[in-house]
Amino acid sequence: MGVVAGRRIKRIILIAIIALGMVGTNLLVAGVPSEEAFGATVESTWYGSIPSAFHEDELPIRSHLSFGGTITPFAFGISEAWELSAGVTGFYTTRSMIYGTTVWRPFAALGLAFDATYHLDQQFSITGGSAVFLSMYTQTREFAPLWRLKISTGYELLQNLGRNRLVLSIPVSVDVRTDYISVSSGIGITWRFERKQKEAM
Amino acid sequence: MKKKALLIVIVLFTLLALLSCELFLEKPPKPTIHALVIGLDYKNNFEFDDPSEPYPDDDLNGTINDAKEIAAALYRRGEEMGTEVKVTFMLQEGTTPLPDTVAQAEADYPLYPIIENIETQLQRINNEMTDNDILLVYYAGHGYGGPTTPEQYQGALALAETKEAIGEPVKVEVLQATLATIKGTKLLIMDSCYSGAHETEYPTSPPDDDNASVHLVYDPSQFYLLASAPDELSWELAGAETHGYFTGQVLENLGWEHEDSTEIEVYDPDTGTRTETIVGNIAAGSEAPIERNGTIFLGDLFANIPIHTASDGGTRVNQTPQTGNGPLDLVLFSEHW
Repeated sequence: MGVVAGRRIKRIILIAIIALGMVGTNLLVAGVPSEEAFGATVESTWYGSIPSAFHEDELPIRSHLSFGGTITPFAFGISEAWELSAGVTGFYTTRSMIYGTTVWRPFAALGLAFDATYHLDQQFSITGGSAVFLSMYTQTREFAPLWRLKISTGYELLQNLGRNRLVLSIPVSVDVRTDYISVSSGIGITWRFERKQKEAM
Repeated sequence: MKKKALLIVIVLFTLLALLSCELFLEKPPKPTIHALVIGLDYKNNFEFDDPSEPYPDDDLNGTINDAKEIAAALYRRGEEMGTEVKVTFMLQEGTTPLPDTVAQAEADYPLYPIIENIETQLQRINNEMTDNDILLVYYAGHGYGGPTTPEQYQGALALAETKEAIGEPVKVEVLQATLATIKGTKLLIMDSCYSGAHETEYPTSPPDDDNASVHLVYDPSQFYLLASAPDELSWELAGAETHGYFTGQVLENLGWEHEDSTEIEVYDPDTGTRTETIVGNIAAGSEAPIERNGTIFLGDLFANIPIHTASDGGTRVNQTPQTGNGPLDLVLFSEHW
C-alpha cells in the first residue's frame, strides 16, 4: 500500500513539474508570422511513458529517447501575430532504458499535425498544437491510435536569412493512448521558407 | 525576464530528467533464470483399447532434441552473458514404460511430465525464486485444437500418460492458474500446435470500463513466445537434426550451433544437480545474432522468427509465431543487469 502511494505521489510530482515547465515556456513568446510558407522541423526529445496501474510497473515513469520530424507544406498568417500551419508528422521512440527484467517497447508513429503559433516580437514565439497518429510497436507490428497535445517555444536563431527562417524550439508534449499516457520534452529546429512575407511589427 | 524564464524552464526539465531517469535509481539485483523444460515424444504410448499394442501415430521426432538443445542454449547464453540459468528437465523420452498410476509416477518418477509433477516442480522452483528472477517454462509436445476440438480444450497440452490416466488434455486455464501463483517474471515458450491459445488478451484501456474481464486475466508479469496462432499447426522439419521449425529458429537466434557438445548442470531430485551432455554448442565469446549492446530482448527474438509456410495435405498453411501485445517487453539476458 505504501509503495503504491509513494509511486502515485512521485507521478503527481513529475506531472506538476511538466505543467510548470509548460507555464514557464509560456513566458517566452513572439516573432513575425509568415504570410504564406512551407517548412520542416526535426526534434529530439526525452520521452517518458507513464505506466497505468494495471501495468504494475515498479517505476513511475519509463525513459526513452525519441526522434521526429514534421513536414509543413502549409503555414498561413491569419493576423498580425497569429499563424496557422498543418503538416505530416512522424517520430520514432526507442525502447525504454533497461531496469530489472522489463523494458517498454520501441515504436514508430505517423500522423497529421495542426499548429497555431503566436508571435510576440522579432525572435520569440509560442506554438500550441495537436496531432493524431497511428503508432506501431516495431517488434510486434501492433497498431494503436495516439493523440498528441503539444506546446513549444520558438527562438529565431539567425536574422537576415532573406526568405529562410531558422527557429530553435523547446517542445513539450503529452501523448494520450487508450491504455497509458506519455510526456516528452526536448529540443527542435524548424526551417521555414516564406512564399510571401509580412512586414515586421 | 525572458532569460530568467528560459533558465527556469531548463532547470525544470533537467530536474524532471534526473528524477525519472532509470540511471539514477538503484539497480535491482541481477535475476536468475529458472528454466523448466518439458518435452515429450509420445513413443511410450499404447493403443487406448489394447495396452500391449504401441501407438506410433502421435510420435514426434524433434521434441526431445528441441527441449534438450533449448535448455543447453539458454544455459550457455547465460554463461556468456553473466546470468545463471538453472535447468530442470521434465522429459518423456523414448519407450520408457508407462507408470501404472499417477501416484506411482509422482513417487517414483518426479520429473515424468504429468500435470501433478509439473505443479510440484513449479512450486519447488517458486520457493527458490526471488521477485527479481525469471521463470521460463518451455514446452515441446502436442497441443489440442482445431475445428473438431471443443472450445475448452483449444490449446490444451498433451502431457505424459500413465496406465490409469490416458491422454487427458491439460487446459490452458490450468497452466495459467499454476503460473499465476509463481513470483517474479514468467516466460512461457511453447512449440506446439495451437499454442497461440495460451496468450492472454492485452487490455487496451484501463479497468474501469467494460473490458473488466480482460483485466482479470491479464498479468503484466507474464510473457509469451508461442509457435503458432490459436488456429494453426506447428511443424517439425526433418533433417540431420530434427527440430520443430519454431524451436530451430529460437536456437539460431540464440547463436546455437550443431557442433561439439555442451555440458550443463541440471536439477536432480536425488542428488540436487547432475551434469548432462547435450550435442551442440554456443561458441565461447560469440554474440547471439539478435543481441543488441549486450542485451537480448524477447521482442527481438519474436521479431526474428519468420512466418513458416508448410504443406498440409497439399494445402499451403502458415505457422505464425505469437507474443503478447502491449508496450511491455522482457529482457531475457543482459550484461547490464
